[in-house]
Parts: sequence; structure tokens; C-alpha cells
Amino acid sequence: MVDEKVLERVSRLAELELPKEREQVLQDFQRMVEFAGMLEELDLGGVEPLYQVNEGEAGNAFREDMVTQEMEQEETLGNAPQRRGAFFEVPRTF
Amino acid sequence: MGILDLTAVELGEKIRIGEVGVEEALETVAERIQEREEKLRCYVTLDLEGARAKARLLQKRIQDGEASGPLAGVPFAVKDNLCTKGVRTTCGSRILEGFVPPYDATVVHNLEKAGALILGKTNLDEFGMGNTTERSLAGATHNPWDEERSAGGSSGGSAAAVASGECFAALGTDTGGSIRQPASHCGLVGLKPTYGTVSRYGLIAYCSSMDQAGSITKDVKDCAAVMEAIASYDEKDATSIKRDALDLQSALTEGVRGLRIGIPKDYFGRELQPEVEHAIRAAAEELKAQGAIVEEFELGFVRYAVPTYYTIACAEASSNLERYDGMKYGLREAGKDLHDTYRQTRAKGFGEEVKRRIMLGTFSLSEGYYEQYYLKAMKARRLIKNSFDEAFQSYDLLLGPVAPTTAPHLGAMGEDPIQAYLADIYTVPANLAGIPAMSLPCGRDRQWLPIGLQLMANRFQERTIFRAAAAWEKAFYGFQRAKLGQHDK
Repeated sequence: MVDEKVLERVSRLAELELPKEREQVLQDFQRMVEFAGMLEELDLGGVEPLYQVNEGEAGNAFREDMVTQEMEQEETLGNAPQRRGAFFEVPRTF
Repeated sequence: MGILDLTAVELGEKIRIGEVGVEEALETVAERIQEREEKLRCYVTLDLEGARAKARLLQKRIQDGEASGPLAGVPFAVKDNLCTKGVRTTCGSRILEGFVPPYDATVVHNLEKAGALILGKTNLDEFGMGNTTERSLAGATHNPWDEERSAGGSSGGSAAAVASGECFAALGTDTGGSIRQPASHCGLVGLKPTYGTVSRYGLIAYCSSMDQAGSITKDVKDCAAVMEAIASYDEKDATSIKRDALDLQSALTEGVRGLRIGIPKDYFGRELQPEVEHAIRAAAEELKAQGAIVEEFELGFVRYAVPTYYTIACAEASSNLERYDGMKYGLREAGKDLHDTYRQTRAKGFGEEVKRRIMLGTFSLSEGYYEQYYLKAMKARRLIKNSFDEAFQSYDLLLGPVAPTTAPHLGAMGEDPIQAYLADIYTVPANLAGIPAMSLPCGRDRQWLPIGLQLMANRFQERTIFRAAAAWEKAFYGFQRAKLGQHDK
């Protein structure tokens, strides 16, 4: 049953604050889940999932473990909402 | 014929021989932008002063023989989900409202290497999630052919800009049809290449296993030129494929004699607008008259393509959009602690549709639901890919509509979020299977709205698409030279 408890849990996992008035949000969510549920109609016994359309052609793409300089520090910090010196300043994490 | 009526390749040639100057071409575009942009809203960010400075440098490089490609000096636009160094890139989202990328997407780099003159960033549905280019922080883009209508989406800004003469060609991206459908609604040529052909480095991710950048152009020859410029193997994209060069120029004159073309019967359901069906079938007849072998067949699983697509796309999006947490870039909405900051930032920064998709994606990947939803969709994806593999045993090319209707009115979206999704029915299969697909003009409906024809080929067979596209275009323009860039009917 895709109810408000499920919605709450999903909102926690997705780190998305839901509005207090969540009737419409719940309705839309249920509608989308119902739509996705159409795949129940398919007989998928013995079918291998397709993770990558490239599966035949590209294996894992590796590179040498070498340090490169792709970007200057100032560039990397350029969009920081809050910054202190060479660091991104963030809320306390624990 | 005015400068704005030229195709990108035609303009490039005139610039090369000195008949038209780069700055001159830019000024005609700037004039057109002045006339129409306020109503059309193709662009999120326009930098004409920057473009003028670049134009002067480009003109010199062209004269010195340093920039000699077919697109050198041609004004281009780039969809606003492709990173452009030093130029604001928003993805149409408040969560990236002030974001200035410190690097160029590889496709942008390739385009600049080809000498193109990038004018600005075009409007899109937020993060590529939509098919009408209405859900953006920059507002809705209007269709140049009927300003009360949508230009399609999510690359609506790019399509409207090319169709109205606000640039000569543009880059878009296609995850579920977002190049092909706006091209169809605006009377243009749009190509989504084989997955892995065009680098995704710097393409702000929506659904990593399906996203591809591609071109939106006035004609097939321009499409070939742009694709040859932007396609490349890229070490920075782990899904980039080392493939043979596209080799498209020779395909443009090869014709369709002996080509086996399959028309999927299941692409012609009740949802299809009769005039669209008529135009598609007429195109098939023309190709048959030119020597192609044309036949109907059942593709299969078409009715499951949209729920399969949305389950997978939303799942991947929910993962890709986790990075928007207000810590390193973009909007930060301070909360009472770390997690509250995440939650407030994302609630404030994302639009409703983006939130809906994140929620569905998170749900289908979560414990207790993964097998029933995400895993099922991955299996359904296998069946859909198999149906194409089977089709390509018998056919070189598949032909059908791009969208069930011509351009819808703006604001037509009703209460049901699913309604809009169903319009993607003919385009998502190619993304699920990773095959190349092109949309090109094939007629008008009674309202004079453009109708698009879709051609699909097997992976790496773009050449086959171009053979048929060029042959069709020649016949089509034989009796109707669409005057792109002009807005009187």
C-alpha cells in the first residue's frame, strides 16, 4: 500500500522536505507508482536485466592511477555557497 | 535569400570565401533576437557582447586559415544543461541559478574547436525532465510557428532558436526524445546518436544510461556537419565508445535503393493524430518510389516502453540529483542542521516535476520495492532492446512518427502527471535500446504546425539514417522549401 508512511520514508531517503499540505503530492506519487506498476503485466521469467546498452562493447573503463591537475583550487571553490580559505564551509556533520 | 535563410553549412561556406563576415552574420542574428526573443524566450543566458568579441577573433583566425572547418564563424546556441566554462549554466533550475561551471563540456569544447560562435544557453525543462519547455526558472519557450504553442521539450529553447533564426544551429540533449520531439514540433532536423558516440562529460546528468547530446539543425547536411564536429571518444566519459568515424558525407547522395525499411504497426495507435499519420505514410510511399523496400511489422512491447523508461530514468535521476545538496555549489537554504539544510535546499531549489521524479526514483530503488519496480524495468528494457535486435535482422531502418501530435498549446498540461509522459511513446524506445534516431520535417497539419518523421537504425548505423534522410529531404524540399526563420505563414 503506497500510503503516507511510504511517502514519508521516501522523502527522508531523498532528503526532500515535503509541504505540510501533502494530499496532492501523495496523489501524484501514487499515480506514478501505479503507472510504473504496468510492468506487472509482462512475463519476465528468465529475462536478464539490461544495465548497460554498451554491455557488449565497453568493458570497465580504467585509467592509470596518476595524479593530474584538472582544475585550479580557486576554480573548484568558485561556486561555494560558503567558504573558508581552501575549504567549503558546511554545517556541522556530527 | 537573406543571411538568416542560409543553413549553417551554407553560411560557413560564404564566410570561408569572404562573401559574408562573421560579425555581419552575428549582427543579423542579433537583430532577429531583438525582434523575437522577448516573446519566444529561447535563451536563459545570452552574451552578445562576448559573442562580438569572439567574432572578431574568429574572423581573423578564418582569414589566417587557422579555423577552416565547415562551421567556422557560424552562430550557435547550446542547451543549458551542457557546461560552458565561465558562462552560467542553470539546467533551468533554481538550485543552479548562479552556477558558473569551471570547465567546458567535451561537446562544447569540440564545437568551439570547429570554430562555431556560441551565443548563449538555451531554455529547457528543468534538468531535462519534461517535453514542453514550460518548467524552467526562465519561464516557457514559445513555438516560433505559433506563439501560443509549445516548442516541445526538453530542448525547446534550442529548437525555437534555430527555427526562428536566433541562431543557425544548436546543441540539444536527448534522454527520452528531448532532441527529436522539439525538432519535430519546430520543423527541424534533430539527431540522437548511438549511445556512447557523443561524450557526456559536462552534460549535467539526468539519466546516465540514456543521456546523449546531439544536434538540432535546419537540414540534414547541417546535421551531418555538426555531428561530425561533436562526436568523439572521450576518456573522461566512462561510457564513451571508441567507434569508427561517422563518415556521413557520402551517405547524403547514396539514395535508398534496396534499403529495407520497416514500419512498426504498433506506432500507429489511437493516440496518433490523423494528419501526422498521413504525412508519415506519405513519406514512406515516397521512399518506396525511390527504390526502398517498405513493409509493416510488429515491433512489440511498445506499450511498455513509457513505464519502463520512467522507472529507469527516475531511478537514475534520483541518484544523479543527490549531488544538489547546497554544499559545494548552487543554492543553499540554511536549515537547523546538516540534514535539514539538505531538505530545505532541495525543497526550495527543485521544481515540482523534478521532485516527483526523484520521489518515484528513490521509491523504486528502495528496500522492499527494488525487485518489483526497478529490477522489473531493467528486465523490460532487455525485452525492448531484443525487439529492436530482432527488427534489425529484417530491416535496415525503421520509420514512424516522432510524437502522437503536433505542438500542443502552452499550459495544456492537466492535473495528471502521466498524461504528458504518454507523448514520449515513440521516442523513448530508442533511448532504452541505445540506438540512433533522427527526426526530420515531413509536412504540416491544418494549423500549419510542423510534423516530424522518425528514422531509427541499429547501433552505429547512423549512416543508414542519413541515406534515407537525405533522400527524403530532397524529395520533400522539391515541392516545399520551408522558409525557416520567417514567421509569416
